[in-house]
Amino acid sequence: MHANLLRAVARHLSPPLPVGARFLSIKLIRSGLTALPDGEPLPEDYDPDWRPPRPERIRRFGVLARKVGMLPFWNAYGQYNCVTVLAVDNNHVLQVKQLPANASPVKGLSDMAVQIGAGFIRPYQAKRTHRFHCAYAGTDVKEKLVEFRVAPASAAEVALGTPITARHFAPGQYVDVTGTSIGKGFQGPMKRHGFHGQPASHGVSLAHRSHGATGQRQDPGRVFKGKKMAGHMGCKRVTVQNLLLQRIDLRRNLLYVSGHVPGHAGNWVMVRDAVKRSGAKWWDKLPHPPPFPTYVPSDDDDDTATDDVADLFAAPPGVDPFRVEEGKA
Amino acid sequence: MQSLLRRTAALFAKYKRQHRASGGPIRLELNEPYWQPGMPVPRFPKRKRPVKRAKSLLLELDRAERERLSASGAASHGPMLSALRAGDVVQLRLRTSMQPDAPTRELVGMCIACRHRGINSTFQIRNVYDGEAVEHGFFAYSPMIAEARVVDSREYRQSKLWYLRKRPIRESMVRVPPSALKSPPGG
Repeated sequence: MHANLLRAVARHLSPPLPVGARFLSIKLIRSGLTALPDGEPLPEDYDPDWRPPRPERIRRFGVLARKVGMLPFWNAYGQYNCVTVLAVDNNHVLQVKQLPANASPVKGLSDMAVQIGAGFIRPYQAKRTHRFHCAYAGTDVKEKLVEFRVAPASAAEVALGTPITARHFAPGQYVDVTGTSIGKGFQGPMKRHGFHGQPASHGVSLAHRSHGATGQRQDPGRVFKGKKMAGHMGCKRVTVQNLLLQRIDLRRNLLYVSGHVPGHAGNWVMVRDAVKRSGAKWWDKLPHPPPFPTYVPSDDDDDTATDDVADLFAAPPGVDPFRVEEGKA
Repeated sequence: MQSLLRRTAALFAKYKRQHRASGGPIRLELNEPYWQPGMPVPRFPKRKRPVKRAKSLLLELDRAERERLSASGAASHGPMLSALRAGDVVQLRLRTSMQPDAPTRELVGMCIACRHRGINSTFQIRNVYDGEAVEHGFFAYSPMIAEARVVDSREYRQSKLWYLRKRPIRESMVRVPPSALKSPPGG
């Protein structure tokens, strides 16, 4: 299962250098070489303009989950942590699309995108367009749609209507979770921007929590746009990055991520591979890297949900911090 | 009179909005293409609001996690420690690390605050060592608690005994006689 991902990563790493290749610094090459530094003649396939191709970033699509709540979690070393439980709620692939040529050229993302639908609503609660859109993929009517732009293009090679489960991720990997933060209403600058206010006494009149001055004097003579002031706070899209996935419940399709996730319980969140922790360097450390492009159940899986194995746990990190080494008090 | 009629009409409209069946017969064509003529009328089970569904799932997960931890031996004294009350004198044997041959240490104290929250249950024990009162807090389902035993139970009218911090030290002293400590739990 993980061979797919490693093959994908290897495909995009630089090709092996020719036999007998020697490392030459870019500075040396640019300065113009007529012979190798140790006096030998240049090899025949020497090309002063060759650079190793940048390994292409791998971005799989994510899932839509519902925030369930938080639970304590003790790892194998006895360390305590809080985990947020996310329920991967009836996800299916609704559409695989190629974005038009004038789509914004984001570095590291191809022009293929996967649309995931999640949740369940009754057919008559949806508009006719949406009903037929879901029926075209062969799934029930979805409550929430989200599009994930993937890279490389082979990450979108997934059939319409494929169910996406919690097995899409691997325990021990890092994820980014995006949700709508809790709305706080109209809030003052002390809460909204962390301003310090004014002293509680010593003559301060009616301005203990206000923002104070808003600019200079006749020059510039105006308040700059974007000046931090009181206003509506919360209820906007927030992404929390680099949450460790501690545990996957195979039966109930739950993800246990260590840390906090924006929003209330019952909130929709988007869970994706961490953009700052993805790549061969991080996935090689996992015993079972995540499947690419997604998890496809097969008969030769050794850790499907059986009576014995219903959860997959992440390996505890590093060494036991509480251990006492031999010879040291 | 006019305002009364208007209010009645508004109430009636609100009732019609909230109760779909009062609007007329079911228009099955609104379910296309998930309904074809000849299929039975679709009836979907009623569901609670997402927040309620999430919280009830969390209760079930809490219970399942408690069962898993107490059955697997990682927190075998969890159910007993999560049902403590203020005034219970407990004797604890704590691990210093999860390695099987790690040394353990003993603690005896009186429970002054017990928080009953399922798997998040905690308790705080208080005792006096060399004239100094020391309070310790623990998670009931922590794997660092190897053994636990309720040795004695004192009667208090409060559920949280924070006032003992202002009272003389002798009221917080827990001196368990050696006969009650006849064998440390777990051998």
